[in-house]
Amino acid sequence: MNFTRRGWLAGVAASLAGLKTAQASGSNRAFRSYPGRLGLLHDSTLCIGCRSCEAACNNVNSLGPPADPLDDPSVFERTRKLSTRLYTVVNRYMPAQGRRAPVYRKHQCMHCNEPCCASVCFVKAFIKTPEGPVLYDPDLCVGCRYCVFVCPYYALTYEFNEPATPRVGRCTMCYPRIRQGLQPACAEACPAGAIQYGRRDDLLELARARIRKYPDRYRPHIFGENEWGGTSWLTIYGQPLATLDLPDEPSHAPLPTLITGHLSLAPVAAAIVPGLLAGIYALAHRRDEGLPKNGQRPTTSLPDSPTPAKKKDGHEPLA
Amino acid sequence: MNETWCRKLQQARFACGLFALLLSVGCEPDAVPASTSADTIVLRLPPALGWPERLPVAFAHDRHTKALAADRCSDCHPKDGQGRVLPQSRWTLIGQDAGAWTAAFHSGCIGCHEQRRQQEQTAGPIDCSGCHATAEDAAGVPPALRYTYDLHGRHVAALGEPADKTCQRCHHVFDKVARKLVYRQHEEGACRDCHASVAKPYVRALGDAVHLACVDCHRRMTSPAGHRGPQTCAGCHETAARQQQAQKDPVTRLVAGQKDAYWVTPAAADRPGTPVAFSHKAHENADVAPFCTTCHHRTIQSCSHCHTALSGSAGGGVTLEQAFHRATAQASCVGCHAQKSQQAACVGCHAALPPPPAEVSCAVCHRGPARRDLALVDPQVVRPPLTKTVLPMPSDEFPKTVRLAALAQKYLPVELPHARIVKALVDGLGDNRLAQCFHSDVKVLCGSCHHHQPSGTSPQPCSACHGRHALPATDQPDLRAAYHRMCLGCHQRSGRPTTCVTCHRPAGPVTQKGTP
Repeated sequence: MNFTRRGWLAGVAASLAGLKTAQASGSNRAFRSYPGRLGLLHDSTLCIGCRSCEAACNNVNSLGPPADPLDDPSVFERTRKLSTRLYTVVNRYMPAQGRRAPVYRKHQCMHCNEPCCASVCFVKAFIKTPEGPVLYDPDLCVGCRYCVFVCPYYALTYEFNEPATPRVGRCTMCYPRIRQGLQPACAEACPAGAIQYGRRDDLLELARARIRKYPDRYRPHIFGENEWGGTSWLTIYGQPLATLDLPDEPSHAPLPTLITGHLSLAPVAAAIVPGLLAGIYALAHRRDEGLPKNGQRPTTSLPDSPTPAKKKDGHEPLA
Repeated sequence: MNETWCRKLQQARFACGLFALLLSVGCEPDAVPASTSADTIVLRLPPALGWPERLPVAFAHDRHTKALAADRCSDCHPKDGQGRVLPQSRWTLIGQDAGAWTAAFHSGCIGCHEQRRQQEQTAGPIDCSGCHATAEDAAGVPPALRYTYDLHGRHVAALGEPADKTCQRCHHVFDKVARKLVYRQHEEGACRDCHASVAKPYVRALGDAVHLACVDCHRRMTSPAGHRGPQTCAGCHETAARQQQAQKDPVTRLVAGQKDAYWVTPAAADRPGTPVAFSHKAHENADVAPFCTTCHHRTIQSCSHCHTALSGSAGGGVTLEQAFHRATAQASCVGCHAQKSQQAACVGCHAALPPPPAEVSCAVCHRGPARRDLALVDPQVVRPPLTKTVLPMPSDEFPKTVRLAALAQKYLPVELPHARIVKALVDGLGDNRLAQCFHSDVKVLCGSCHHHQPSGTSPQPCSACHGRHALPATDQPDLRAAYHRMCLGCHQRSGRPTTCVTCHRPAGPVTQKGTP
């Protein structure tokens, strides 16, 4: 190949174009929050385990009454998981040493600031709204269940029993009610006031004030403030997170940033690697006399057979 | 080809042989975790002498004591000039190097075991893995022994001597001038006042001092009734064995020069303050604290001996005010009272309150006259009242039942058994004198539910302040949450029923499962 100046300039231009696209597509800046967005504060020490939130959630989402009867305390003997008919669940946990009352905690989709489900969905069926909730569009979903797999809080479930149009099941933070100015159904239903709805910044202040006022009752930490970039559901609690089935001290970096760095290199690689390999090929074959044209044998610099040397100056060649 | 194959076979055989050899040599016996019984002493090479080659040894002291005939302590333990058996074995004191140390123990232990085998008595092991079989991280400390009034009283009763002779047997202080141990009356402190867990120059470690004083006395002396104290580890260190010997007669009061009651005054001498009339006698019993050392946690002297107004190093950085009021300390007044309020009968209300001390209860203790009149007034007279809380008669201000109808929707209005609840609270006080001090006025109990208002005869209901919506600015819950948090919180903490139907009767038809 002829390594011409034109070829070299073309290669550099292509690399620069590739870099520009790479910069535009991938970036590792963490998104903190939309200003003024909403959230919910769950005070696990106030939860009495009445499961009114489960009943209200099922009612609002037309899921039918919860499978386990509401007045049967034996349902707490095992830890229940979320399901497509139970978008939120209250579980009972062993109290910390020295405390007597049982401890309950409500679990549901945490509506993360940087949701993993939205990050991995390649059909963009998940949207993080400015108000705070993460919304799911079943019409766009293709059923790959990558989101179910990747959620760190195990908050998404899948309708395996539904043959025709299976959907992902998850808490919606009652987005239609929020848009109407109402509270989410669970917050309105809670008789003990263990779920508080409001602006996330206000709830953080409220949680801090409560922890400061009752230092014996709470751990000095608001779960959801920073975990994996932060969530819209905040939890304050009185015993170790591991005993409440919550991850203990995860990283503050949003989980999607684990892969956006690598993914952002793909266009760069696509731009540079072909040019690089072509350049190496060119360097390796620069002494060749050219590529063979159609039908011709490749010319080499070695002679096939000794040809008699031409007569020069009328003299015969030596040997 | 044949040659190379033979060569490879030889190499393979050599490798297998080497591997098998290494495998056999490098194996240790399976390490068992050391038992946690009171008599297990874990013997390991002191770190200063190098790395151990073998696992530690779990030495069962009581087995050896029982196997040998009586008073054979000196087989292993040396005696000092006064004939007292020293707590360390004679081999522990050899400390030049690892070789000498292990050789001393081996000759002592294995020598005795071999001797007994020859005499056909029960003997311990003589092979390495018979003794060296404890996990490397085994802790070698038996459960700590704390003195109680009962234990001390039993010693005093067992010795049966006049008071001035008895105390001298165990209590001593170091006279810096005469540079020797003397007995000083009214300065009888605890062993750990001076003896720390590690030895200091000229001061034995606590374990050594206690074993030297106690076990040696048990070995040599019998009480006038013919009773000898325990000489096995378990006899003292196992609480079950100790409780079996619990004294039946009431314990006589320990008098070390203390008065029955004291005036406790704020620190600055020139400032007036409201002193506290502190009844020392009322606190000297096992219901309050197991022993004097619970409050006198460093020395038998008064608190202000170490804790000064400006905290110095003697007080560990704790000021005099903190020494009385720190809610998290066991030795402070407020801290101990806070601990008592976490009992099952009390925690229903007390867990909902902000951490103590509460300003409303300052006056319960601080009720003395002005400082200049202190000398004239006997602190016994000014103690907090110990009258039983009186339940008021039902009246308009103290209704028998309260009808909560503001939020009746799915359920019928709740008929709150008001008088019964207050009676349950009053009964929960029982004979507890601490509770009576603070709750002698029934209005204090009213304030547990009728909170955030002045204490008066006609408290406001919940709906006076709690509305339909929560107030996040002051973290005030709405009325429904206020009802449930107050009632169910207390029920949960005190083990009372918490189901909905305990209080509510459904208004309309119920489902098959009983929910409206």
